[in-house]
Amino acid sequence: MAAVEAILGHDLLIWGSRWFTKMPGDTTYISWHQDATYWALNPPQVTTAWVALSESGPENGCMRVLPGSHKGGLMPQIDTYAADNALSRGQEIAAEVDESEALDLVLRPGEMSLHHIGIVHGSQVNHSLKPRIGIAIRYITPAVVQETHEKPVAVLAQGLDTYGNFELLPPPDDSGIDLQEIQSTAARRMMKSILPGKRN
Amino acid sequence: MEFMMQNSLPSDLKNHYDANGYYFPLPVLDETELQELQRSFFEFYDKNEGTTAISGAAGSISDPIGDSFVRALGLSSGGPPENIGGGRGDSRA
Repeated sequence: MAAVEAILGHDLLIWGSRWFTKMPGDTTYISWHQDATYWALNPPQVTTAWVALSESGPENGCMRVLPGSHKGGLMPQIDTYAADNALSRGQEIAAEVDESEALDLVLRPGEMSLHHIGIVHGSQVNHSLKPRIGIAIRYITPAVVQETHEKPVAVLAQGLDTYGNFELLPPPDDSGIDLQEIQSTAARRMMKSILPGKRN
Repeated sequence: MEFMMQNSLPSDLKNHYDANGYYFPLPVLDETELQELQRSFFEFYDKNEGTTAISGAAGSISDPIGDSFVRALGLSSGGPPENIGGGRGDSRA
């Protein structure tokens, strides 16, 4: 949390989280894309912490970035819905990406990387016999607004939310709250906000 | 995250991040935390027939255990590692 705080400040919300798992033989990949294109979050006070539970390197399909690309604005993107693309719409930058500029974010188990919502990134197929397991945790500041018809949800990670732009869900605990119900509500609202045709 | 706190932040973190849009690597889990989370992950993965998905296209993973994982990491106000299971997530990358 200290590293995220150094970038976004003290008041932090968790907007979402997602496992990225590529087992040996898995043919999934992630095309070059910018998260900012389809997350509808503004201002871009958003960072993703990608925490590795396994080795994550070029041989098993680690995340790759184009350094500095977050400064170049949003590039045109198309939805391919490609079968092996792990993105929800198979979204892909509709322009030539100079892969010689790409940098592998190599991580050992227990390490994490941070990346900006506007950076061009992706990952290749796991060509190794080793699993690649990580979880991406999306942090935002309370000042961020998500363009969606239904109030978006988040969890207060630390500090205060004086903006009220998100419905704050209780953090997970052992109080007996039905987590599956909360998960379903959150997932439904998020999918409506990021998938075309589901905004209303 | 305790691990990170004990290992102090790199002095160039913010400047590098702002200039390049990323920063890595940052140690966040000690060996005990890592092993516990790996064990929990595979327990869930095996129990759910090799998937962490509850919806979406092939490889498009909605994350039923993400929130608990976040809590286990101490990234939310939920506290230290306890139970893994349940939670919320999305289908983005």
